[in-house]
Amino acid sequence: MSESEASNRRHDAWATELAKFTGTEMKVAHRGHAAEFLRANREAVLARTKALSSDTPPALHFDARWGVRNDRTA
Amino acid sequence: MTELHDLDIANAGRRLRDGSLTSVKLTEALLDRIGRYDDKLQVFVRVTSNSALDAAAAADRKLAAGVDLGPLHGIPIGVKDLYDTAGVPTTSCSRIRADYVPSVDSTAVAKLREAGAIILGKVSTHEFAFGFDAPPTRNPWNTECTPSGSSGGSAAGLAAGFFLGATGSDTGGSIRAPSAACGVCGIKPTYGRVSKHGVAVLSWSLDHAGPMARTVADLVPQLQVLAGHDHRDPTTIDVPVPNYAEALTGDVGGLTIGVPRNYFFDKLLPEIESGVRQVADELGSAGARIVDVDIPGLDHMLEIFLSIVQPEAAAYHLQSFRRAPDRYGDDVRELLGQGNLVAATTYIHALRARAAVCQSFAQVFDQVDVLLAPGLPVTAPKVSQTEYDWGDSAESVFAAHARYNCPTNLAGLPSTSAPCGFANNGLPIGFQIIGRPLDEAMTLRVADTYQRRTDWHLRRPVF
Repeated sequence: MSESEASNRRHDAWATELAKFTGTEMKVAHRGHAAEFLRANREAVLARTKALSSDTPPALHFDARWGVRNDRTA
Repeated sequence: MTELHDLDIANAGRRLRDGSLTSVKLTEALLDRIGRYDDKLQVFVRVTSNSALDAAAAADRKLAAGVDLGPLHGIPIGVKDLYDTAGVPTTSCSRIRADYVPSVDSTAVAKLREAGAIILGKVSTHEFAFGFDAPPTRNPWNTECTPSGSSGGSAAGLAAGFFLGATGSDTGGSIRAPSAACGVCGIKPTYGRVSKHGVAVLSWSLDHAGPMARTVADLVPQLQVLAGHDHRDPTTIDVPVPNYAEALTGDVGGLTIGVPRNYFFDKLLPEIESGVRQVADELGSAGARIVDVDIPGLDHMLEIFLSIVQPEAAAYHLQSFRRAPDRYGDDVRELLGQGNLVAATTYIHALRARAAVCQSFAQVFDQVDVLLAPGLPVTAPKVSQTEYDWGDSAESVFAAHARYNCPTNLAGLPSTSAPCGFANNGLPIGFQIIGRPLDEAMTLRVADTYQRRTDWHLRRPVF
């Protein structure tokens, strides 16, 4: 089993447990769909952030540039 | 003479002041219209006829006594059922909130009442604003279609001539998508410009409250009342509110309008692309400089959006979701269930990506005054439709209605949506004007200039 497959299995197992904990009573198929959806989302977001420099500050550039005080990305 | 249900806010106000119309007469006419047609369109969750007529009578008495509360005095509006209204059930169109009767108004509703607006009732939303329709509301342009959502009741009611103004909320397009789908106007103000106190939360960091109307000019008096700092909403920005009416100069000479080369024209109906490019031509004819621009870093917008909105919504609903998950609709239950499972690391990465989106827009706004983009890549879907077929692929209704809109929720930028024609299927299409933070006035000015030169906003559906 590859590392990513193992990771995905762990994620599925964890998702199942958390689903029970939160009382969502999701069906098995639904859980599988949720896990697949979340995995795809996570990978897309990771792919996007990998393209950012590792020291990109979360919000400072935006606020400093336009002087807007808010907690949009805080 | 213009039918009462076709009056805009300015003309209704003029007639209320010259004595040719009373607020009671206007309210009665709209209530009559609602009575005749709302069985078909199902815009209203609850019509508050008695309190509306009482408020209209009080508004008439004040005007007669020389007390003028401003442009909204005596003007009937609809309120999205997400906004708390004292003594009136505010269900968010969810069984979870079926018995919720707030004791006080949301800040927005309180401000609208103080400005003399007449609240005709509560209008439909997707459950907790978490989706792009507003069941059971139908689109007045084609009653087999949804009005989009989540502010679908507001948009459909405006198009149907049930009220002259409305409140909406926009977390990933919920003001602009139904505006485009129903041929009406809406503005998602800058994040923090309008108080969300007393408005049910979908996503704390993405939610925006704002007004909707049939014309851009009619957005102005509503936004003027709604905008401003509110100590009860810590996300509101404590900065002066400009006079928005002064922005409506009808002049775009010297402005630079950017038309994105990337992202905002990906995968859309050809007639929507041509309609929005005709908007650019019209604004160019009016004196604006039209330039093509690239907005870097708009990859994976939908995933970034969902990785924030879902866990924030799940956090808001955590207690009631644990207690009674079955009281949510199937789609919202699934979205909240997934939201409970988004890893904190994914959420953090999405926030980092969001910061980069803000920076990308900031760079573009060094070159342009506003951006012009389509409101939606598609027209309103059929009621039972779950996907759009692009030939080589299918896209969910949710994704299609969110992807042009959610980038400005992530960046918190103001955006005004307005109609610009009809697709081949006869349904309305729309555009949006995106502005710099806090520059709602510029987006209104540009969209209003377009409306002064065209008449799409004057077309009315037959239903």
